[in-house]
Amino acid sequence: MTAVPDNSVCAGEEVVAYLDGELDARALARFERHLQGCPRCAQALEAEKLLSRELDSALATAPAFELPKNFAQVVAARAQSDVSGVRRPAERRRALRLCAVLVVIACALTGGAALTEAVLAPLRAVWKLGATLAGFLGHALYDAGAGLTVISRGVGGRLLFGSRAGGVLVLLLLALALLMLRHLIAGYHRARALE
Amino acid sequence: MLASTAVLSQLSAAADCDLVTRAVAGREDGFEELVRRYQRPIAAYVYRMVGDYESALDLTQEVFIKVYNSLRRYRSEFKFSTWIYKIAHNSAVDHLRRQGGRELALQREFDGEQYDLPIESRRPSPEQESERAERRVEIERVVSELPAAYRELVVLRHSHDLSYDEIADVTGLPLGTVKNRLFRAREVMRRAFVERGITGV
Repeated sequence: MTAVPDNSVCAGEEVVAYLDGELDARALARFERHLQGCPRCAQALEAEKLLSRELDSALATAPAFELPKNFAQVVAARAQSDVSGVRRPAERRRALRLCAVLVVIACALTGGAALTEAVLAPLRAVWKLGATLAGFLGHALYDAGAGLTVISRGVGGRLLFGSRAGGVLVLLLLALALLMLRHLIAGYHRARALE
Repeated sequence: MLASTAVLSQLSAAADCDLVTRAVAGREDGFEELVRRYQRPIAAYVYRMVGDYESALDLTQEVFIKVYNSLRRYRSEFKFSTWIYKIAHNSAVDHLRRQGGRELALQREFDGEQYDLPIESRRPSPEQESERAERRVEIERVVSELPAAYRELVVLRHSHDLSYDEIADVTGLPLGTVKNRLFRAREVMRRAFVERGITGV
């Protein structure tokens, strides 16, 4: 640091920083030396002291702001019940196992019919849907691959015909939809967290 | 007395870390205790920043939920209180921005110019209030009318007793700006006190 002429500390900022105990050792020594020969700063210091005292005493009291009595409890419960993102994987696995056990117990209690109706039927439906989707995805990927091969052969014009261009288009749309879905899910979680 | 304050603050910092560790480990009592410990100062800070009860209550909740969601990212080399004030600061600033941002948009201009508080006719204080309480209300009102960019520094300094370094961490402002704005805020307040006939400041 270069040496600064002593009267630079008359800026007023220094007086406040001095009062707030925010001057480092060097600046402090310089300011105190200066203070002895500068009645203006001595006077400013007295004025700032008064102002600080007033501000401290006025603002030390918390504003009349009543929090609900069970605030901490409610907030803690809300924070913990929401955000799946913070849960550790181990905790999630434990929850999944617990769910599986509960399903088995429920089925055992309600008999085999319930198992077929309540669990297997939706599972089958989901499996069917998954298979359809996978098939669709496979086709789209195959078509995209085929399309790329065609491009690499330098006959991109042919893309305009038949299902290959459609495949590429579908693949692009699918990628876009996936991106949007992620965004939507994130938005939903944020909204829930702030609710 | 200073030494005992230092010891106390060290103890409380250690306890904060302990509570964070417990909360991160999934112990529910850890987080609830953290909320209980900081709910009053954070609510007071947010309330002074946004100025209305309902928003302040919502924002305070939001702050603690954000704290919970980012507990894993908290690193113990920072003071927990500074970290939580920073989250509260960001929430309050976002809220003010959503409210129209008029106040914050002016923020940059303040550093180079003079700013005068809008002169408001003095509302009569209830007669039964003691002179001292009346004075406190007046000072509080002057502070509440400061632009957000000044108000928050004054509140963090004089109500929450944060150091300049901590204020710089919380607000993301350079240290020099913190020092300068605190000084300017005092000038603005001093003029306002004179206009309101508050003497002895």
